[in-house]
Amino acid sequence: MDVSNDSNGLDNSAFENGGLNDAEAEFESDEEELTSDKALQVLESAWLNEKFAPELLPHQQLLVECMVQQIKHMEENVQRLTKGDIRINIHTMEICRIRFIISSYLRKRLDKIEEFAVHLLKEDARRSPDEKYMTTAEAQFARDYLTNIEKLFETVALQHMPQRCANFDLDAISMEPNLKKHVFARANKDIPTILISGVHEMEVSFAKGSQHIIQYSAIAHLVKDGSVQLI
Amino acid sequence: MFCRDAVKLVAELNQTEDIKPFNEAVFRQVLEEVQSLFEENSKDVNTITEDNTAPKNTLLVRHYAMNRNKRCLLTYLFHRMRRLRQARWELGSIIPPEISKNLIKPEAQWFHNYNKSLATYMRTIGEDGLNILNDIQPPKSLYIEVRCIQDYGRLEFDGQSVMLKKNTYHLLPRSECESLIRQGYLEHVSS
Amino acid sequence: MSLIQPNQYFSIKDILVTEERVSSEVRQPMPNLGFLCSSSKKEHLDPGSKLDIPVWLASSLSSKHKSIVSCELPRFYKDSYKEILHADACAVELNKWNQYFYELGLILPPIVKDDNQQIPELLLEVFKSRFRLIMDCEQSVFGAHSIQVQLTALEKQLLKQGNQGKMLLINWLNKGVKHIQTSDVVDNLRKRKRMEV
Repeated sequence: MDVSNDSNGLDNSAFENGGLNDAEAEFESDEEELTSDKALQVLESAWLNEKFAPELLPHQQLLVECMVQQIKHMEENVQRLTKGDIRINIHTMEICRIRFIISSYLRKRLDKIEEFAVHLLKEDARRSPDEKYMTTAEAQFARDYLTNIEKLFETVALQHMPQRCANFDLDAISMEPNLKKHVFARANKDIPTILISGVHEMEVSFAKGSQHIIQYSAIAHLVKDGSVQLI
Repeated sequence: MFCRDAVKLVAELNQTEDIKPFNEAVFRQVLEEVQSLFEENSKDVNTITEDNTAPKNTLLVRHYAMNRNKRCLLTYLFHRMRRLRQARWELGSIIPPEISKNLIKPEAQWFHNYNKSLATYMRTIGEDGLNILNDIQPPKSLYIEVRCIQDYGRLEFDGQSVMLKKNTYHLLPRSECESLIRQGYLEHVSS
Repeated sequence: MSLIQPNQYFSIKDILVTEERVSSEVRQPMPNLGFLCSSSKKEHLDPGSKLDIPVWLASSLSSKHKSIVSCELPRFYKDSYKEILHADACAVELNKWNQYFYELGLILPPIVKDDNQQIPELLLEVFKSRFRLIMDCEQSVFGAHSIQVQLTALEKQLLKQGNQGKMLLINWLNKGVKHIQTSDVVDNLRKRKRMEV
């Protein structure tokens, strides 16, 4: 069985209609038809954005599931190749690469979820199901994380204290991300007005392709809608 | 001055990044101080009258001291927990005995629960789940040269099997040895 | 690393900084707490007694509504010490004055209600001149150890971060991409084992 080769060895067949599962079909119908190249690009830019943004960004669950499915197809295809075929190495490298990007992306998200658990759960609670930043699984992870901490505190310290002092509200000590942090950004398109707040209010504009160091809070919305890429 | 013992616990955290043996003695002393502060306050609250409001000040001081003690105790537990979490991410789901002997039961229980919730989360990725704690470095090559620095035993993969004895060199697939390198059994040798 | 983050509840640094002492004078009586003042043998703390109290207590007791105590700015933010800093901040063994010089300078002003001393400006000026010193030392191989004794906790941390950044860059330039490393946790365990043996 021949594995169709494109420039980076990705298996295009997974993206032809016959090979699509529900998640992929939905993903494709939402945007214009996505080639495998484009999907990997989107994954890479989501990964970089998540890496450099101080807050948790909206999840990309469909994209992740798509790419995981993609890896699975590729692994199956590689199995069918005869041993010693050069394409085994190339495809295996590609599989490793994609798996690394997905893993690194999800790890960074878990990092932030643990750090800002209380804040994130509160924020997501007031968002509609379509706009939540955490996936259902991530939200459950956040809740479990908090429950486990509370249990540890209770067992070792709080239950040995007089009732009046033993109350402890995780809410009161919840951490919020520092949105004032500076980040490196590249504009994906011309952006005429960006407002920078602070001691002196300033307005700047980005030309397409230009790179800047700027306060994250000024461009947070642009990162989320894809106008700006964090680097 | 109040809370001296409590700060000792926090200072201990500041000394190294390790998980030291749980300082049960000092921890208990802090809990005792909280108890005695509480009892003193319960006594003194009855001495407050319209003419004599001074005890309120003393009650406040003890109240702040109790909160400070609580904060130090919880901070001690919190940072030990974060170090344990770091060990899980770097070494896998089995803690080495050098660390586990320094934990108290509730901490070991926390580790067990954390493991479970991580596993539950990872199972939801794709259809079969994905261990996202595996690929820590971007892959540069499929095979890497390693030196075994600690006896590990037999490693089986892909139909092959290799005996990892101290001071032997091997050329192995990266995916098989990444976690063994992080745990300290193998060393990535430069090519 | 940010000094002015809200929510420092679990911050080790914050707890250690707030343990530092300030000289205070009692303004309202506090019965049964006489033992806090080591010099007097009295049972109660009477107005007028002077004692050193930690910042965590001082900040709660000297707030606008309560003023149970009033606190004084440590001397190394004032007068002749200020003159020394203006003259040459880099020559000062700031560590000996107080290892949390900057952090204390940031949290004390509301507590001591000292509007005249312009602490923020002082801190900025001192930090700017000493920062150059730190950067120079971080670039050179030999300078690092000798100046460590002069540095406050914050400055030592900056030096360490600078060194780490430099090593990362050198490694990357030399080896291309990092080899897979043993985890830090295992490294530390090994070091402890070697020390015990």
